[in-house]
Amino acid sequence: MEIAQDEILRYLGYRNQNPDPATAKLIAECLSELKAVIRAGVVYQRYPLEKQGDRIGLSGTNLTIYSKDLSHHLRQADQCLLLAATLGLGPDQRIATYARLDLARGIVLDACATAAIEALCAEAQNKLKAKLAKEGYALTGRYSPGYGDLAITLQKAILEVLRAYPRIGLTVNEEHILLPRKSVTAFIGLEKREESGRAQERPAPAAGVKADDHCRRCPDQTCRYRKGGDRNG
Amino acid sequence: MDKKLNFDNFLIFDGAMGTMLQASGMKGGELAERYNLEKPEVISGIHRAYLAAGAEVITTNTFSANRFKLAEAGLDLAEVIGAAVAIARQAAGQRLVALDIGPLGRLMEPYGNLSFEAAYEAFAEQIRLGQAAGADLILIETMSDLYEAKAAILAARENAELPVFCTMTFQADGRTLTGADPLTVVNVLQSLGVTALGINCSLGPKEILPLVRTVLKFAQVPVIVQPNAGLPQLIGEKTIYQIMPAEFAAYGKEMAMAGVGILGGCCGTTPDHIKALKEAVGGLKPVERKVPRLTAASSATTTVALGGEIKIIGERLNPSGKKRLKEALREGDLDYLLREAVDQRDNGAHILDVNVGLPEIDEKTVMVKVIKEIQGVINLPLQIDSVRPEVIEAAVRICNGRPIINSVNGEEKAMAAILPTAKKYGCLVVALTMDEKGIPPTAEERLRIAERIINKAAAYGLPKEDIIVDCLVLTASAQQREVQETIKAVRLVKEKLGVKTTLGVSNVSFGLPARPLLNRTFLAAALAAGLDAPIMNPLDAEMRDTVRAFNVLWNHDRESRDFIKAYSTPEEKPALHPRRERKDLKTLIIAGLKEEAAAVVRDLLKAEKGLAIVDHYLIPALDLVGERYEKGELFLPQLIQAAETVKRAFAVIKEDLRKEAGPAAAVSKGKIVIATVKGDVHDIGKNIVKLLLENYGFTVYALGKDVPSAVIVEKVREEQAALVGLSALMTTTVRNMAEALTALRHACPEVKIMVGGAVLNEDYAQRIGADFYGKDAREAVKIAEMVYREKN
Repeated sequence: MEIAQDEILRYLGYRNQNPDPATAKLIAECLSELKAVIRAGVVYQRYPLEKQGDRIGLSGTNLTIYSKDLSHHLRQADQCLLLAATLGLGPDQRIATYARLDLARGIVLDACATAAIEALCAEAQNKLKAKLAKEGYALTGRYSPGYGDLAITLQKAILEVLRAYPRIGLTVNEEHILLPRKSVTAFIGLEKREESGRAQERPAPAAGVKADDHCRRCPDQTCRYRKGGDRNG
Repeated sequence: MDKKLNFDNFLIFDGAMGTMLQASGMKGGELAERYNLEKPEVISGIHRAYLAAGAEVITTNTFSANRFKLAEAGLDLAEVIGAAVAIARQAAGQRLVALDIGPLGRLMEPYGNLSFEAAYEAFAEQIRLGQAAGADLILIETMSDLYEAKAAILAARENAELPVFCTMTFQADGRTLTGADPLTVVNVLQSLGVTALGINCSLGPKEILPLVRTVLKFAQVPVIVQPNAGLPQLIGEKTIYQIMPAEFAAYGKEMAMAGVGILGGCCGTTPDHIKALKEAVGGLKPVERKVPRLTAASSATTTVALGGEIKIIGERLNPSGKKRLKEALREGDLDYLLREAVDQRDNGAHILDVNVGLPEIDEKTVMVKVIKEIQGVINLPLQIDSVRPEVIEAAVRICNGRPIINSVNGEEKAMAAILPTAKKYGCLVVALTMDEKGIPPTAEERLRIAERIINKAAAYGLPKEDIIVDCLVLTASAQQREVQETIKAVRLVKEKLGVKTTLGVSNVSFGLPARPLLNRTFLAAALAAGLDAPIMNPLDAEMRDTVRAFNVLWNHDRESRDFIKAYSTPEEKPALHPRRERKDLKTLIIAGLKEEAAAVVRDLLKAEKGLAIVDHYLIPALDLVGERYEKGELFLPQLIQAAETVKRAFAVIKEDLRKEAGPAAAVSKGKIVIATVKGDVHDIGKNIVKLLLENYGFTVYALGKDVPSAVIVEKVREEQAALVGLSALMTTTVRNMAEALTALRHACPEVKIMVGGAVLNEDYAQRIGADFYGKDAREAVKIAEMVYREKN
C-alpha cells in the first residue's frame, strides 16, 4: 500500500508547503507506527444493475437505491462492484490514545490513517481494474454514501449485503458512522468497453483526480479536507 | 443433557446454513432468521439434509437472532428463537440441537458503543429463550472479539445449564479481527469454563491447519473446528467457495489425526462436505491428548506465561504513598493513570497491577472505570489488586482477557470469598503466605500456608497452575533477620509445590537510604531462588538491569539478544539542546520542546511569580503561534506541539502555586463544559479546543464523545459553568446537537452555548439557536474570553 505523503500534508492543512523537519519526522514515525497496527480488510461483490430512472437495484440482493447522483455516476455501467474496506481497530486505538496523551501525534496519525484508507481502496480498485479489463470492463471511480445525494443511511444495508461484519469486522453505529473509523464503502461502476472505445474515454481516474471530483459534488462546502478550497485545518 | 455429549468418538456438526439458504433463493442482505417464521419448511429441509449426511449435531438458524438485529427487522426475538429451536428439535429426533449464537454485529467499547453489560444482557436473553425452547447445547461461534465472547460465555454459564462450545474466527495473519492470537483465545475461553473451544469460518481448512495445531498445543478441553470451504473467490459475478467435499474431508481427517475431536463446516460447506467428512474420520478414534496447563495471564490480544524469562509486574498504579496518583484518582484524572500505564509498558512491564484503593472514593466504580480505560489503551494483562472481594469480582467480570487477582491469603474467610470468584471468571490468583495470625516468621510455616491455599483452591476446582505464590517481603529496616526467610520460602515453595511465584520486591528497602541498591540486590537473590514475576517499578533502571542480566545468566535470554540490544549502544543523551537562556522560552514553545520549556519555567520561578510567567511568556507565545498559524506560516501539528508545551509549562506553574498556597490557589479564568454530542464519535477537534482553552487559563470539563444531552446538562449544573461547547462532525449528528441545545436551554437558561464542527457554519449555528459559532479552537478561546469578561 502506497500512502501518499502529499495527502497526509493536505489533511494536516498544508497547501503545497513543505513541513518543518520536526513535523516531517513526526509524520515518518506515525507512518511506521500506523503500518504496524493496520489490519486491512477488503470485501467486495459484483452485481448486475437493475436501473429504472433514479432507482438502482443490485440484482440478487434486497438493496434498492434512489439517487440522482449515483445514477449519473453509473450511467454507462451495466454492473457494479460494491466494496467495503477497513484498516481495522488498531489505528482507532492508537489515535484515541494519542488524542489523550499526545495530541499532536494523534492528529498526525489520524491524517496518516485517512490517507492509508484511501490508499487501500485505490490498491483494491487497481487490482480489480486489471482483473476486469480482461473481461472487457472499465471501472468508474468509487462513489460512497454521503457523496452528493447518496444517503449515508445506506451504510448499514451495504454492510449487510457484503456480510462485512463477520468478514472484516466492519460495522456502523446508529448515526451511520462506520466503525472502525478508518473505513470506506463504495460503489464502482463496471462499464462494458465497446469496440469503438467509447467507455475508454472515461477510464477510472487516478485516486487524487477522483477525490477532487467527489469534493466538487459534495454539498459540504466547509469540509476541512475539501480539495481546492482554502480552509485550513 | 450433558450425558448425550460423548467425546470418546468424533462429534460431527452440520455445515453452512447461509450457503444453503442462498442456494434456495435467499437474496443478499436478507435476514436469514425470517425464514424460521415465514419458510420453516426450507430450514427444516436444510437440517434434514445435514442429518441425512451424518451430522450428529445440527445448529439452529439463529446466528443473528439477537435483540438488536431483530428489532431492526421488526421481529420478535422469542418467536424467532422459539420457532428456530422447534424446527431443529423436530428434525433432530435423538440427535443434538445446538443453539447458534453469533456476534451481535456491534463493536464493543471503547471502539464502539456496546458496553460489556449490554452485550451480556443481549446474549442472556437469547440463551434463556434457547434453553427454554429445548436446545441441547450452546454454540457461540464466529466470534472475532474475545471480549464479546466472554460476555456470551458468562451469559451462557449464568443463565443456562447447557454445555457451551465457543469458536472464534481468525484472519489470514493468524489473529482474530480484534487482534487476539490463538494462545490468548485458548487461555481466555478455557479459563471461562467452556466445554469445547476452537476455530470456525474466515479461512479454509488449509489456512486454518497451522492455527489448529497451536490451539491443540494449549487447549486442555476438546477442540472443535468448522472451516469454510476454502477462501471465497470472485468468479464472474459470483462469489464461490472452491474446496470440494473430498478435499475438505481430507483436511478434516488431518485435523482429526492431529487431535481435533469435533468437526463441522462453515461458509460454503454443504451436506456433501459433511458426508465426506464423516466418512473420512469413520475408522478413526479421537487422539488422546495430554496438554500441560500454563500459568498465563492474557490481555485482549496477548498472553504472558510465567516461567522461563522473568516477567515484570508493574506496581506503579497503586496510590499508597503516591500523592500525585491519589490526587488523580480523587479528581478522576484518568489521563494521568493512563500515562502511568503507558510509561510502565514502554519500560518493559509485562503485566500491570491495578490498585485504586482510597478511603474517600467509591473503589468499585472507580476500579471498573479504570480497568475499562486501561484495557482500551494498553494490550498488557492486568492484575486486579484490592482488599475488597466485591471490588475484585466487579473488576474481573469486565476485564478483557484473563486477569490475575491480587490477592487471597490463608484465612478461611479470604479463601471462601476469593477462590470461587477466581474459578468462575477463570483468573489466576496471587496467594499470600499469611493468615489470621499474620506473616509467619519462618519459611517452613509460609510453605505450609501456601500448601493450604493450593489445596483449598483445588477443592474449588482451581488447579495449582492457577495459583501464584507470594512469600511476602519484609522490610530490612524493621525485620532484618527475616528478610532471608522470604528467599528461603521462595526456594521451598518452588521445590515442594512446583508453583509460580511473585514478590513485591521494593518493600525490602523501606526506611533505608539507597533503596535502589537494596532492591536490586534482594531482587537478584530472589530471582536465583525461583522468583518468576517480581512486582516492581519498571521505571527503576537498576532493577530492570538486574532482570535483564538475570535473563542472560539463567539462559532465558537466548544468545543474549535482548541484553545486547539494550546495552551494546551507548545510551542516547536526551539533552541534545544546549541549555537555553530565559528569553528563549518563547522560542522553545514555538518549537514545541516540552521538557526544555518546563526546565526554563522552573528556573524562572526562582525569580518570578507564576502568574507573571503566564502573562509575560506563555500567553504572548501562544498568541504569536496562533497568529502565525492563521497566516499559514505554521501548521496544525506545530500549533498543537506549541500548545502541549504551554500545557507542560502550566503544569509546572500550577504545581508551584499549590506548594505555596494549597490546591485552592489554582487559578482559573472560568469553567467550560465541552462535549461531542450523542452519536458522534469524533474526538480530536474537541481535544484541540480543550487544549487551547486550558492554555488560556480556563478550567475545561471535557465529557468526551457520544455524550447524551442529559450528561451535558448535569455537568453544566454541577459545575455552574457559564459556557458550554458542543461539537458535531456529521450531518447526521447535528440534529443531536440541536437536541442538546434544547435540553440545555430548558435546564440551564443562563448558560452560553458555542458550537463547532466541520459540518456547521455561522448560519446553521444560529438556526439551531446557539449563542456562538466557533470556527476553530482559536475562535473558541476568543468566545470564552468574551463570555467571562462580560460575566465578571
